[in-house]
Amino acid sequence: MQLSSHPQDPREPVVYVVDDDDSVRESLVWLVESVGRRALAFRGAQEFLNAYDPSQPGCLILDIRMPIIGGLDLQERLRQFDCPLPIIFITGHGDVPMSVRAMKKGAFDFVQKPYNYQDMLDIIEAALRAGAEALERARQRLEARERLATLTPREHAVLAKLVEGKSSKIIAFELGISAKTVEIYRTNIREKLATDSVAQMVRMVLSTAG
Amino acid sequence: MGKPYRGVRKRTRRFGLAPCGQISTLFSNRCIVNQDCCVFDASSDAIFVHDAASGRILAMNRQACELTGRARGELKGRTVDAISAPAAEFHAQAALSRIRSALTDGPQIFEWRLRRQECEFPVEVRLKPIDGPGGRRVLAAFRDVSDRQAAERRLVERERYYRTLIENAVDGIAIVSDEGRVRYVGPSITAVLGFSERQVLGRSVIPFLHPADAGEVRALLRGTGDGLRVGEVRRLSYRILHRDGRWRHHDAFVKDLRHDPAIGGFLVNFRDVTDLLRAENAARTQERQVEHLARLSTLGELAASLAHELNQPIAAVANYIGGSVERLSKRQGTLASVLHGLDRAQAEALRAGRIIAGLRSFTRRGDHQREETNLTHLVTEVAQLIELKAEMAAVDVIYDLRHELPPVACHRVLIEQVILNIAFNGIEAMDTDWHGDRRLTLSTAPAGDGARLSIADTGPGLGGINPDRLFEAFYTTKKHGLGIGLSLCRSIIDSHGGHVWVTAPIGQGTVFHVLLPSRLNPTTWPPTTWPPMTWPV
Repeated sequence: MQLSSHPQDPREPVVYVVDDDDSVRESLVWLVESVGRRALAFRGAQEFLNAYDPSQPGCLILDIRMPIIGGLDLQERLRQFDCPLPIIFITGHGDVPMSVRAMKKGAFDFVQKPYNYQDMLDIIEAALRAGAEALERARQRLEARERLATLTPREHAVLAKLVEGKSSKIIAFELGISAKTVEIYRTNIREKLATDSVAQMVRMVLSTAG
Repeated sequence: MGKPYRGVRKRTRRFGLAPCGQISTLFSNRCIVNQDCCVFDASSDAIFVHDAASGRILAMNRQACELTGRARGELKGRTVDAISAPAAEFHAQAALSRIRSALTDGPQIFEWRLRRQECEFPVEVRLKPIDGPGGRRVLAAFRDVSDRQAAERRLVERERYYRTLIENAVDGIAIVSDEGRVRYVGPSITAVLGFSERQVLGRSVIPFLHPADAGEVRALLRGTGDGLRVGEVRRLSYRILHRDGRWRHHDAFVKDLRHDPAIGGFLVNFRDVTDLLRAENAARTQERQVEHLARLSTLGELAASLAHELNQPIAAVANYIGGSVERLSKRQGTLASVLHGLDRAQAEALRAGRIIAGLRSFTRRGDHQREETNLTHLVTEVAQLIELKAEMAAVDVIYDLRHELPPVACHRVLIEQVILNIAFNGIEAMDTDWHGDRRLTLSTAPAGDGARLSIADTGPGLGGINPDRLFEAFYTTKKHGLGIGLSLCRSIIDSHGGHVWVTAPIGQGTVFHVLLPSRLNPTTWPPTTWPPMTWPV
């Protein structure tokens, strides 16, 4: 593992580089650092998985051809736990079919060796932005899930009808309770989810669905 | 006795050919009747004198006694029953009718069977009527023909034997005159050319020959140009028209036997080699294709790994240059860090150069020269290519090379190809599914009068595969293998008079061994085909 000289800041995004070729790996780190980005380099997939912190914003530059655990294998493993890290694949000559597979499985981009370093830097910046957004979405999703988990079953039932756009009277009628009781539930829901907006509630429910 | 003795002896010896008149004159001489006559006894034939009327034996010479194994006293006055085989056709009655025929029709020649003790034997009998003082007599000369008959029988058998051979031969045999006319042709002509013997006898073979070949055959038969010497056998190849209208290739041996009265022409042994030639051509074509495929598959693998490996340093160079530009333009980095980046860029560019140089030295020597070289040297020449491949498969390459080796005479490019092929196989044996040790060990050592190279992998071993089958063409255990690599390796090593074999100690991977002799065996070098292929039939 090679650490950058930048000061450790938990919110500072990290460019992870996983490549078994020493030259490529070290030179890439050196390039990333030239634009003031923080880079962490790993020789193989397993070393990366051991060190990776999912709460850290960043992106991953991954060699598609590696021994033992290949680039596509690592991508699959990361997908399994909804990792928000955008992956930039580095591919070689004749790796087009593998690149297609990688893109279909949600890779951020792929760069064919040898590449223009400026293109690579641009893609890294775009990936970092996407990574930060993805992490933010994940964070919000997590928060929404936590808030929703505090609702009682009755409050859940009322929320479901609210999200469908029904008025308090209709909800009261459908649930066989008084409109006054529905209003109490609505107040509880507003407090627990920390929002007055029904639209906001809809977003929270949708973001945690599926 | 001077003159008559000579005359008698001479005529007696020519008895069979003498005209009847002379003999009767001779034997009318009293000396015949006088049994002591030494001339009578001196005859090489056994002679009996029969009474013409009764057929009884009146007199006989010494040879007659010897031939029948009887004394004179035993035979005198007896009929031929006493000396003949006991069959009906050899009874005295039969003999008498022969004697009568001789009296009326003149000399008779026929076969008879005599008996000596229990032993029967064939004789040739010549009967001549003569007039003696005591009335008409018949002179019977016997000659033992058992040897001659045996010889004749043998001859008949031999002829039958040769005829059977000729009839059943796939090859044809013919006798042709110097104009090319067929004087004799064996019955196998039907099988060889579709014509019957009768259809070709007396006809010239020249019009049947391919126009391009006819000239040479005609010249050979006429003795013009490079004619045949007596006793010389000349090999001839020509195309000849089959009855089905197709040209067939024949290989023939021609011998001039015109001086031999039994042959009186050119003896031609011919054989249809059309199918053989076609098979040889097909095999040669396939051989070339396989060699080409093998080279392509090796080169294809090389190209893929080379492209990958060249991309690494080039990508690194781009990264270092880009990083340097960024540092300089944004004034972020120190001068030292920029210099470091440029320094590394140069090192990576040189690494790319070394990879290319390694490949160039591998492909450049396309010549077919053999030279004395050190096996260890060959290994180090291809080491870089092996390491490229090994690196991709995360395999460690270990060398245990001896530099003091007897030189081996070999074709460098081919032997390097063998080393690469076996090493690549070893690396592939430790693919991504293999979770044991990942080591490839190349070792060289003196062996016998030559040198040995062993390439050991720590893969799963042969797993019950017959080691001999590994070297067969088109046998493969790889998913996408062609199955020609090891077969080609063995062909190459065989052509060097060397040996390649495999050992697989259980649980310790697979070891391929290549042994190359120091000196080439002059009888196996140069190989007739290059390299000779082992072709599955």
